[in-house]
Amino acid sequence: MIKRAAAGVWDFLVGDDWLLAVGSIVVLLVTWAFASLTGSWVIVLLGVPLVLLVSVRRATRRR
Amino acid sequence: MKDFLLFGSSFAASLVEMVEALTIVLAVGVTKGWKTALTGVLAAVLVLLVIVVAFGPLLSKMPLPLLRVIIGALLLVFGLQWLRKSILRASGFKALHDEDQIFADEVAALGGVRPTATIDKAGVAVAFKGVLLEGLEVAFIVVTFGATQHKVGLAAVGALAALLLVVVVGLVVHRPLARVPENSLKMVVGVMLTSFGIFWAGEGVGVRWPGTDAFLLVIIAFIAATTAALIAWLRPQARVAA
Repeated sequence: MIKRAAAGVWDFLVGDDWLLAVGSIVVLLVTWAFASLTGSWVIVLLGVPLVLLVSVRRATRRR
Repeated sequence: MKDFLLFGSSFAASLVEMVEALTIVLAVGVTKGWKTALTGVLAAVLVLLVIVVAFGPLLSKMPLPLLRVIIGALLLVFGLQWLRKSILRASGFKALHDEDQIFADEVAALGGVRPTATIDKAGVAVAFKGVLLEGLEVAFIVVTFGATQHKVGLAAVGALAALLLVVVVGLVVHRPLARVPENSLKMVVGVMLTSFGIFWAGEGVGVRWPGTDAFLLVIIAFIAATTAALIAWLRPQARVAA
């Protein structure tokens, strides 16, 4: 039962591609590391669509 | 402006999830009887209430920067999932959501149309699971969206408006709401969740947005344009693959 619940939570939060979740967290960590610099917002603004692009590309290549 | 976006996003997200839940409830009601379907719905609503009441107040006790990072990251991951799915559907790499087909599949899985006056356990379980899973997504969006702006009430009103609309239309038409443009709605909500996620998580990790709150509109426009560009790029490839 615990295993099934954990699988449900994983599916709810991570969904079809773990790369989206991990990639988003990595982008946020990198942004946090450079947050004191002017223009650090560019990292998160460009990083997130990049993660989406890679994830979508992975999905289309699998088909 | 932010209030309008909050209400609209909550309404659209809830509408999509409730249309999906309605399809399952209708399938159970038609095959196993309405007493069975409503028992499953009631049980799921009670569990959802317990979850919201248990976790909702925890969020309000967190310091705002930490709350923004956690909720921003969750919204980001959640929004990107919705966007990915709707991009793949809109470009033709994934089949569009078809409520009529889902309804037919559920009816077949439940063993055909055989309504009874007694409560059917399997039917209750199907209705319960359907409403709980779709309802969890609604609760998650309403609580997280509302909490970061300290306006859970407004987000809940958006969700309630969607619930009312789906229940009323469901009662009138008495069949799956196949005409609701689910993929388009899912895409709009995906853009909103991702944009709010970028904005709040960014603020949480220490980013200073140019023009402060007004920059949210730039983020929304940028994510929407990226989504449109990805679909335009993938469509010809899907046609070749088909």
